[in-house]
Amino acid sequence: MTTPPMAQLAGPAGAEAAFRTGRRRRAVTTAGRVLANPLSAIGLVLALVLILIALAAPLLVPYDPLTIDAANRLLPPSPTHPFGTDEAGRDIFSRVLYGTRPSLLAATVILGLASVVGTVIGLVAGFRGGRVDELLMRLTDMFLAFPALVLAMGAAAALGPSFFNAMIAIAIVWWPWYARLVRGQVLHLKHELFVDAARVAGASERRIVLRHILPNCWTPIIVQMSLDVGYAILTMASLSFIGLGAQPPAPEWGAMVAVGRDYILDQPWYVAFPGMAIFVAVMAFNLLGDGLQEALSPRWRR
Amino acid sequence: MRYVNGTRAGKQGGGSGERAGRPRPAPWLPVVLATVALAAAACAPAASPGATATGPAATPTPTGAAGGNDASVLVIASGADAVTLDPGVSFDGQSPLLWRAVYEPLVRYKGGTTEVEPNLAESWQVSPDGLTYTFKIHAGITFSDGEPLDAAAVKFAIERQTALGQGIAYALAPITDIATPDPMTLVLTLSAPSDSMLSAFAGMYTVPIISPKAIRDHEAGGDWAQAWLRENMVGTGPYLLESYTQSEQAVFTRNPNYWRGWDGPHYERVVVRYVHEPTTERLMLEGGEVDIAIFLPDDVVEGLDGKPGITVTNVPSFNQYYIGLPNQKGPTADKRVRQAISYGLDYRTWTDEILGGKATQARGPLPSTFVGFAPETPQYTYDPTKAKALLAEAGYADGGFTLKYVFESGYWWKRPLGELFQSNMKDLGIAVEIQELSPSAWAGLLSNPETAEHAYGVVWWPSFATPYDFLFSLFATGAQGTAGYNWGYYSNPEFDALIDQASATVDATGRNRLWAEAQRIVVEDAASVFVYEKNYRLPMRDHVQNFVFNGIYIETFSFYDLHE
Repeated sequence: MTTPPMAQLAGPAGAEAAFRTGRRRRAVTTAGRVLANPLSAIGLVLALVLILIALAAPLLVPYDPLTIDAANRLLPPSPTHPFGTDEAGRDIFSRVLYGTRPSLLAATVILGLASVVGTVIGLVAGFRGGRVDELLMRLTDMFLAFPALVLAMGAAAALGPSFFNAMIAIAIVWWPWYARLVRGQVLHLKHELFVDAARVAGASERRIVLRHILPNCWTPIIVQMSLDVGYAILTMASLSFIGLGAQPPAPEWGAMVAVGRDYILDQPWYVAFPGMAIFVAVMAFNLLGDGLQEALSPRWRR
Repeated sequence: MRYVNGTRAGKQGGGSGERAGRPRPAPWLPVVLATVALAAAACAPAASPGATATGPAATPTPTGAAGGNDASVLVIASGADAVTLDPGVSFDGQSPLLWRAVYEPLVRYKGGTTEVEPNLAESWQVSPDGLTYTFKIHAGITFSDGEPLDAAAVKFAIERQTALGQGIAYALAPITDIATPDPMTLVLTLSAPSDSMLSAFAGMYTVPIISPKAIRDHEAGGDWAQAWLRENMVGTGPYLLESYTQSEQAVFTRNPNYWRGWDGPHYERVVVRYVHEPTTERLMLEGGEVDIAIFLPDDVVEGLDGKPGITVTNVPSFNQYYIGLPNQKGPTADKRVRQAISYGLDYRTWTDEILGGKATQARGPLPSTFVGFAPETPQYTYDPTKAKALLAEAGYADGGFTLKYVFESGYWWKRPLGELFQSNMKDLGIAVEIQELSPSAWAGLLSNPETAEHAYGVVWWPSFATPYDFLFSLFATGAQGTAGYNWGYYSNPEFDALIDQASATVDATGRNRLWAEAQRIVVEDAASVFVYEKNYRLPMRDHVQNFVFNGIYIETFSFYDLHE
């Protein structure tokens, strides 16, 4: 969106307002752009469906996901058990539906924590510059130097295996990406005309950062988050797969695949359905993220 | 008593009386891989083994693969790694498989029984007071390095074991004197009778008879050649170690000078291959690539039952499975609460449904096929009404408390048992939280009296043919914490006195009466939940002949006796 020329002259408040209207208008057209691309439209629809399933899981499932029914263990898919049953006779369909909850919850918490911490550090580093920037960015580099998954495993193991700890562990390895992203954005923004104007008008540093710089970082953060949802779900499932995440008998996709792999030859449905759920969720959010990036990023604008 | 002096800490490392676990490898890939492979497999539910990404492409006919079909080579796939080649220093569950190819005990268990028969000792005598053991060593046996076997060599082996203070050293504590009145006679003098003394020379955890020359030649800094023997083996046994790569494979070839001779059918070579993915291991057996597969999860074994060319044993084991309860802390410190929990578990669902009838409910702490088992021991049956009444009596009318159930990775049955326990306890109003831990974290948590306050799944198999092995290790006050495996911190002085008295009683009838009383007490106190005993299910190619299962030698083989 181009900023109306008048706004440039209207001082910081006017420029700010123009930016905001621009953003609002852009939000509307963004949705249009995402939907215009069939792939990202599929992603959006699937993501919405997943969110709906997570919210309405108790209303949708035919069986309680935890109730043991040993007489009906390891049944193949059938009209009564569309995805079959597991080694304790629990309905895999119900468990897969319930599995959207920990996955989406984990993605929300992980990205929430990572983006908040990363944004704060990125803002401080980018705006202050100098030694503070050096210190914070070297710290960030330290975290980035480790393979993310190995670091998350180590952190989860150190905290003790539980779903909550696994989320924290993943957030610990995730924030540096946001810190770098935001810092880069800040470095670019702090020399913008409207920031200078705000400074000249006597705005405090705090006000400049919170009112003028931060709002203009949202777009890249949101794009990054939408791209990360799928990976966060996958990482969480991976930690659960090796026993560091969700604890039994919680219906979590990664944990289900881990147990189910011993049954891969005789009861392939056991691991196939939670596996496909992971696949669908990761794909949905990646498609959506790609679509958002394409729609929002000027570089990719068609 | 014996166990008090020597801790069984060594056992904790590898899995102990605890059945050796399959440490789950931690690959990331399978999440993705399984998704892809299974999307394919799901489309064709009649899964052909070749469709999976991990396993070797299995041919439908059990022919063609090397090794497993060569009648002169026995190939065993093991799902869990051996820890050390030195049989004197470890109590882990995986290494004895290798030890038994090269090392032999002085005496041995006959067939599948707890009865002892001659081996390296051609005969032995125990004095009526149970204080003197006289072994007559079989003449004409040499170690594979040419050293002759005599009483002095056995004495040296006992001295090594005692000096190292590891493995079963604690069971040798009553020995006060070792004499060799003539080259082929060994006389042990004891300070007190002990009904596990003979077992210390018979089991797979035993005094290993290692060549004294090898020990002397390779000793370094007073270590009794520990460093060298960790990677080398010099015994009297039927096979020689040809090569060994930890976590990969061990290869044994015939010892041409074996004292029993090589008449009749025997294997030329024995190969142990370590395979870390149950499905791969299963496919190797199905494809005929290996002859025997050990350390497989039970459901994987059940999946092999009835497959062409494969037999699965179905014989009673000496494995006993429990849910330990915190006797010292929380609501479960009240005996009535523990009894209520014991009445609240649905044993039949577990044994008949989940384990498919291959198990039966336990009757007390000992397996029903084991020496000293008292058939009159009381048993808790599934009775939620009675359980609720007992809870109410103890002041927990609607339960209302939380119990944490911890289990360690690698013991496949502990998770589903915990889930059933959780589900059953929910009916009583008791909330059970399940947590999976690494084996070391699990053992560390429970063996520390400060942190132990958990229910936990535990399996015990005996190293000695005596009830003392079970009763002391799991329930004696002296075996609490790191001193043993009493991680439910049960303590009953009357029980402690009984088992010590029984162990030192020479007369079998009187001894068994005392064992029976001890079993009754520990069940009456509901020291733990006595859940089940299980048949040993070992899958092997049907051409493997002459396998006789003995619960004390579990997951090991008398290689010399096997053939095709």
